[in-house]
Amino acid sequence: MKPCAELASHVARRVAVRRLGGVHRHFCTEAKAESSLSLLPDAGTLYEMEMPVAKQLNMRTHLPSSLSKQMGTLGEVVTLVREPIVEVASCMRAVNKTFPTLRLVLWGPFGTGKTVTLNQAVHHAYNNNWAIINLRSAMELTRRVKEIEMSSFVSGRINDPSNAVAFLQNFKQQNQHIWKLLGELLTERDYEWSKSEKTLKDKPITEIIEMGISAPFLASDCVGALFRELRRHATADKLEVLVAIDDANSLWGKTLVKRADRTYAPPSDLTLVVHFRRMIQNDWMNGCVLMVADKKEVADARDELGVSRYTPLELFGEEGFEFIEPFLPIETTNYTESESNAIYNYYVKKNWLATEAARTEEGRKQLMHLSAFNPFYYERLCAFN
Amino acid sequence: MTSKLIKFAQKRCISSTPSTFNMYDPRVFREPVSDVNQLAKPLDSADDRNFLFVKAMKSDSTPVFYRDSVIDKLVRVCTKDGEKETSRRNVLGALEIIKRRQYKAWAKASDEEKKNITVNPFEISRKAIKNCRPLMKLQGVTRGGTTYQVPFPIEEPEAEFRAMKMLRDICRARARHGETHFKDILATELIAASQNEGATIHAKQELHKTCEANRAYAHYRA
Amino acid sequence: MPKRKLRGQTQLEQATGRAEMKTRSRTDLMDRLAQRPPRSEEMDADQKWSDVWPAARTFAASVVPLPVRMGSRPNTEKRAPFKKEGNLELVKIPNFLHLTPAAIQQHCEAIKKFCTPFPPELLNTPELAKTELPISVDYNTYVHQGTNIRDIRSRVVTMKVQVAALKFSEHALEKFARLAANRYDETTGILTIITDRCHTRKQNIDYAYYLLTVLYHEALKVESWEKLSARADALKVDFDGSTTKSRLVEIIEKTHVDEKSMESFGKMWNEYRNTEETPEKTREYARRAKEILGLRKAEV
Repeated sequence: MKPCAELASHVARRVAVRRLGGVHRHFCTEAKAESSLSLLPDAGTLYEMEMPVAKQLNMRTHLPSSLSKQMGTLGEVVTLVREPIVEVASCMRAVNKTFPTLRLVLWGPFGTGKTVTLNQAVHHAYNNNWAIINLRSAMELTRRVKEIEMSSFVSGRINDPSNAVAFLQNFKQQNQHIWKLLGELLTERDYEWSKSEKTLKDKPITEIIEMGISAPFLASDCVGALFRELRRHATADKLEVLVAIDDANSLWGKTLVKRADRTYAPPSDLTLVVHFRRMIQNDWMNGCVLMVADKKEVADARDELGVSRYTPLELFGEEGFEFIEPFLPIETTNYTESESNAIYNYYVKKNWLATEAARTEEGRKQLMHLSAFNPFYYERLCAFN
Repeated sequence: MTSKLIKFAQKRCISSTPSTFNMYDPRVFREPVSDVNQLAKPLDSADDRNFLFVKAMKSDSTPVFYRDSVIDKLVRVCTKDGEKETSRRNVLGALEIIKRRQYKAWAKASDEEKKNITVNPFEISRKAIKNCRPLMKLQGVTRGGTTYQVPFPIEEPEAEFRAMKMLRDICRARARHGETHFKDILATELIAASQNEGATIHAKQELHKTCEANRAYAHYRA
Repeated sequence: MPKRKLRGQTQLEQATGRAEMKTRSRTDLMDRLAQRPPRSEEMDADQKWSDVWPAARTFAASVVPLPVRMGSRPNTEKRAPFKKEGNLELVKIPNFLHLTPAAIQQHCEAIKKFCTPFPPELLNTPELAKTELPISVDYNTYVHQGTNIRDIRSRVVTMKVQVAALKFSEHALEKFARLAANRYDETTGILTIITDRCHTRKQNIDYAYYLLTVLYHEALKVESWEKLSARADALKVDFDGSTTKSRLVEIIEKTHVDEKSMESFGKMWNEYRNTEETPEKTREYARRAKEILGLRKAEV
């Protein structure tokens, strides 16, 4: 993280508590050494992720498409540090082995930076050597299921081999920074995947991942086993885990998976959904679950008149809401003038705003107001100017 | 050969006839003011706009800083079935693609070459349309049962329109299969045309050749 | 034979005085007008207009003493609209010449002896209507430009009742809300019944009163199976007894937290779950959740 490299540890200790606002009433006894945690820069400044790190964390697929294109064109991943990520980072500092997992839900209107904040948090976790469980979109598990297999483990459950393998490969790629640590963590018991495949007790859990990647028909069960082991080891204070799920409200939403009797299966019938729900539950310690409540799940393209809400209860539904409670909702909002100026100056510096008119004062003001301070539309306007 | 065509075009200029009928009564209506700075200034007391009506402003001429007449015209020409929003998305998407490609080339280039590379997509598309403009058009004139393709001189607005129409037809034909999107093809064509290459320039040159070949029919122009 | 009276025949008829005199309209009109000027010219300026035009009537140019003109023409600058004599356009449109302020005043004076005065208390404080007059019945009458007096919409009746006036107990109010479903708005406390089920307005009003009576009596009844209701049957979600509370208690029993903050969280939670969810309410939830989970921001 370039801006923070200059911050020496002697500054960090003094400044840490004040800046990140972490007066923890209940956690003072377990405070971590401030200097060991890498800090986020101030809210309102730009924050760069180095390209090799971004590539390892698979930012190209996880960031929203417009920012992913910027990654390719400008050759760097630069985002703005705003209030939500500062709050998320302070909550991540509060994570503790004596406290059950902290659940955070990012909510807000369209284009205000929910997915971007999620990815910034993933990068922050990477910097602090946390394990990362990152799902690109829970809608892929419920609505984009290419082929299904009935589970041999629990009758009535539906496995999703392609999504499970893709997830395991992504997990492997994103956790390369702690791969050695993961290799040192051992399984609790024997896992009999099928009649021939087996993982014995006291083997490194990386074997489960390799097993899942190599055998698609076992992958869904491997995901479950991996999650179980991670929860166990996190509770035992061996490592901290960040569970980052985009479009998490889809885990309680609509499915497009058809059962044998041609009815749609509820999400609780899908193994991967069940595993992720167990990960969200707060019966384990030393972890932070970051979810995004997205309108994609409930929005109906054919309903021209209705405007759906973007608040958590509406999007998660009663069942989902009761599952994730108690949680902390974190709001993402439109830009303030200073934030849009920061982005504007960055684009001018990089020569991304190519037209003369865009680089004038009038152009700067019009860009802010034409986009109505919405980050998504601001980026879209700057894209062709 | 092209210089002869140019001289030919310059000698014969048809008087440009404005449209004969306008729904707006010219005695009662005046043009609207699009410029924000001019709007802020008060009207001169002798100005007849104090007493007359003003025509309705078209949605194309809102005073946004990126307003460009050539791009607006291209959007209108590419509109199909009245879906101007789709056309606008396509054209502005093409501008974005042009900018991204040019930016990548600019970033890779050395400091000397950087001065020659334009990243501004509006400039590139304006240059492209300018390069695609034909100098003459072919119009069918029927004499004694046979329709001859006669070359006629062309005004600038019409030449611009014909350039855009050629560009649009070529891009639509390429996008028909659905493999590539219209905006990608449009972007490639615009970049190529700004370098005087590509299918549209080729089509324009073919048109010029046919005009040259049909020079003999020019006396059918009445 | 040609189909006309031949010359000889017409001559005979004229001679004997049996000829049909063809009346030419224009000259006839002129003749008649020449005899007597129209009534409007002989009217007194102080006359009583309601005697001249007592009821609704189609426009009669000779009776109305106003210089009205009506008509469209190709060039508005060149010609004035057509005058009222023989003008069909003036006849086609509805006129309200029978509704002058003086005529209306006369009508009101005549009806006044059948009316009681409007309560002055209600004039001064309109809010009294909520408590003193809890039932209001609305219906519409429709007027058409043509001769038709019927409109199917005039049988629609809207009855609004202030439910507070029914003085229900808590149990009865909940039962009432279940029975009335979306007709009862709990934020305003008004029951709205809209009926057009019967053919006439009177029948619909009677039906609305009948519905109100039935709802009232049914709400007061207590059935034996009502005691079987569980948490899932309740209309509103309650914080006490929810999984959230038990989970919170588990989390917080590790550290001390006072009962007051738990109570205030419960109150906020009840409001959040049982009323309309807005971004502002969600922000309030975030503030309280931060407090109760111990992640409060430091005072910088």
